[in-house]
Parts: sequence; C-alpha cells; structure tokens
Amino acid sequence: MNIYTQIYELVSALPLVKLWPEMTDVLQRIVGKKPRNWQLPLITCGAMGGRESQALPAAAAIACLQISIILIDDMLDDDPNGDYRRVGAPAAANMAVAFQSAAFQLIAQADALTHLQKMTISQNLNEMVFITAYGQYKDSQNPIDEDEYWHLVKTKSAPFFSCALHIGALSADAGSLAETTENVRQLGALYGEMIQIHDDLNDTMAQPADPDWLLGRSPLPILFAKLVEHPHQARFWSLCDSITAPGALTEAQNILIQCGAVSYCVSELLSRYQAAQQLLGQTTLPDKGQINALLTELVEPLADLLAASRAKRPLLP
Amino acid sequence: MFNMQAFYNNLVGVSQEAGMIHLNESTAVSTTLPLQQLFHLTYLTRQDLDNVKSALGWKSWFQTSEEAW
Repeated sequence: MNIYTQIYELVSALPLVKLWPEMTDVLQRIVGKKPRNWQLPLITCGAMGGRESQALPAAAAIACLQISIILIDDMLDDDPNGDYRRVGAPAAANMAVAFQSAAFQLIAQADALTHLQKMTISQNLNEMVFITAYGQYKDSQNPIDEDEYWHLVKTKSAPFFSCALHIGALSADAGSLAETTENVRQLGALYGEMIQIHDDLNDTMAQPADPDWLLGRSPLPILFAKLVEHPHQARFWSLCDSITAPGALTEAQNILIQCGAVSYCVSELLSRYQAAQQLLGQTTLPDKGQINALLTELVEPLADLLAASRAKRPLLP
Repeated sequence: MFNMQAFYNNLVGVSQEAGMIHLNESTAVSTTLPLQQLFHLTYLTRQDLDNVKSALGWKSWFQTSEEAW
C-alpha cells in the first residue's frame, strides 16, 4: 500500500471525518494529486534510520495541515480553483479548522510514537501553525523592502517545510541527538525558503497573470524590479498599474528577466543550496541520500536556463 | 549575501566587461555560480523561458512541483 493510500485510510478513519463527507471528498481529491510534501517526514525519518511506519502519523498530520493551510490560502487569494468556490466559504473555513485538529489527533493516537515523541511533535506542529497564521496575516501587508520580504518568507511558508522535515526526524527515535534533529530543522528552513523562491518565480512568470500581479503583491522578482534603480524601473511600475492591458504582462515579465530580478532569485536559491549542503555535511545521519536529492532537484533546472542563455546577446544596460 | 541593489550594480559591472567573458560550456550547475553566469540569464526573454519549459516538458516554471502559499 503506497503512502498516499495509507494517509487517506488513516485520516478518513477518524470518527468525525466519517461523519463529514465533504472532508473525505477534499481529502480524496488531494490524495489523488500525490503531494510530494507529504513524503518529507518519511525522508528524514529514513535518513535517521527509522522505519516508514514510524513516520506515517507525522506524514498524515502534515497532509492535514497542508490541506488546512491551502483551504484558507485559496480564500485569501480569491483563487478561482479553490475548494471554497465549490463548497462555499463557510464550509471551507470549518473544514480548514477540522483538518488542523485532525493533524493533532493523528499524533495523539499514534501507536508508533512514545509519549515524549507525541509531545515534542505536537509542540512543533503547533508552533508551525501559529507562525504560519501570523505569516499569512503579514502577507496581506506587502513587504516594502527586502528585509520585510525575508521576514515574511521565514513566517509564511518556510516553517511548514522545516516542521515537516523536523517531525520526521523526531519520529525516528525518541533518543535521537537534539543536535541532529535541530540540524534537520534548519535544513528544512533552508529548503522551505528555496521552495518559496521557486514559487515566487513560477507565479510571476505564469500567464495569464497570477493573483500576485492582480492583487498588487510583491513576490521577490517583482520586489526587485520595483525597488532596484534600473532604466526600466519607472516603466515597470507603470506596467504593474495596468497589468491586465494587452501586452503589459509579457513586457513586465521581460523586464523581470532583463533587469536581473530572475538572476537574483537564482543567486538566492544557490546561496541557500550551498548553506544546506554545508549543514548536511556537518550532520551525522545514517543515510543522507534522499535529503541530498531533495535539495539538489531544486537547483538542477537552473542548468537548463543557463544553457539557454548562452547564445543570446546582453540586454542589460 | 548580496542585497538587491548591490547585486544589480555588480551585474552592470559584469555587463561593462562583457567582452572579456568566456563562458564555461559545462551544463552542470555550479554551486559557486559566478556572477557572469547570472548576468547571462539577463540575455533571455520570456519566450526563451517558454521554449525551455516546453522543450523539457516542465509542468511549471523551473520544474518544481511543490507549492508554497
């Protein structure tokens, strides 16, 4: 039985979920997408020498919390594909709270975990939920400078990835060295920041315009093009004010590339990759292979971009 | 770590010395990516990125299937 089926069976067996068909529907639909984030606890549990069964409750809890976060985020973003459009905002809001509670219930009833592990994992999950809620609140107020942007990243989505990797390590063995699990947590934080940079790049380069453009938000590439003094800065601001006009989005996206905003994101990705590799090298783990692969797959696509840039002429003034 | 404006200023510096740049032909990702390679990314257009994406069958930009929020 694969991990997604196991998570589905674990969550859908909760008594209150059985009474709430819409919860099962949402769960079933998202299980079908096989979100890779749900495997993060398994990867670090395995790296610590633990078994998959030990990390299953943590993976199921992460699954529930991701569903909860996205149910809310879709409403905040007015996402046309959000579940709230199908079931209504009241039902989506209540389900978000229910999935959050389900996560803690899954840890509390996990036979594979000791009492101490349950306490520690629950504490980490709770802290993550709290910080993420704060980050989502701050996200509604655009960052005005780079410091504010990185503070937002550290509160909005990075804590989820950090927590997912951390609680996997904590699931492996109640006697694990605190230094090792702390290093895994820090690796997760760097991984989460890399995911956020990728997400910012994806969203800003997408067509048609992503909500980030339409709602006047400032993900990293847009923040760069707005704040840095470059010849197309004024034009970029003007395009942002009329981003739905014909041709405006493509022109703005070209400016993002040519003013160095995309290059900056790549640079920030690589600096975090280097820091993560250094930390991984200093961490004593029985098997680092899957964590290494997790980090490396985030920088491999950059080789293709660099190759594509070779035959071109410079446009930067 | 660079800040944004300093990073841009450095890119412009590389641009002014562009005639002296000799690119590494390796396609491997360097973990110590020189500024010159980051500068060369600025040669691209959005259409170039589209071409990379479709040629490699990527589902999303930079081929990450993970999602933040």
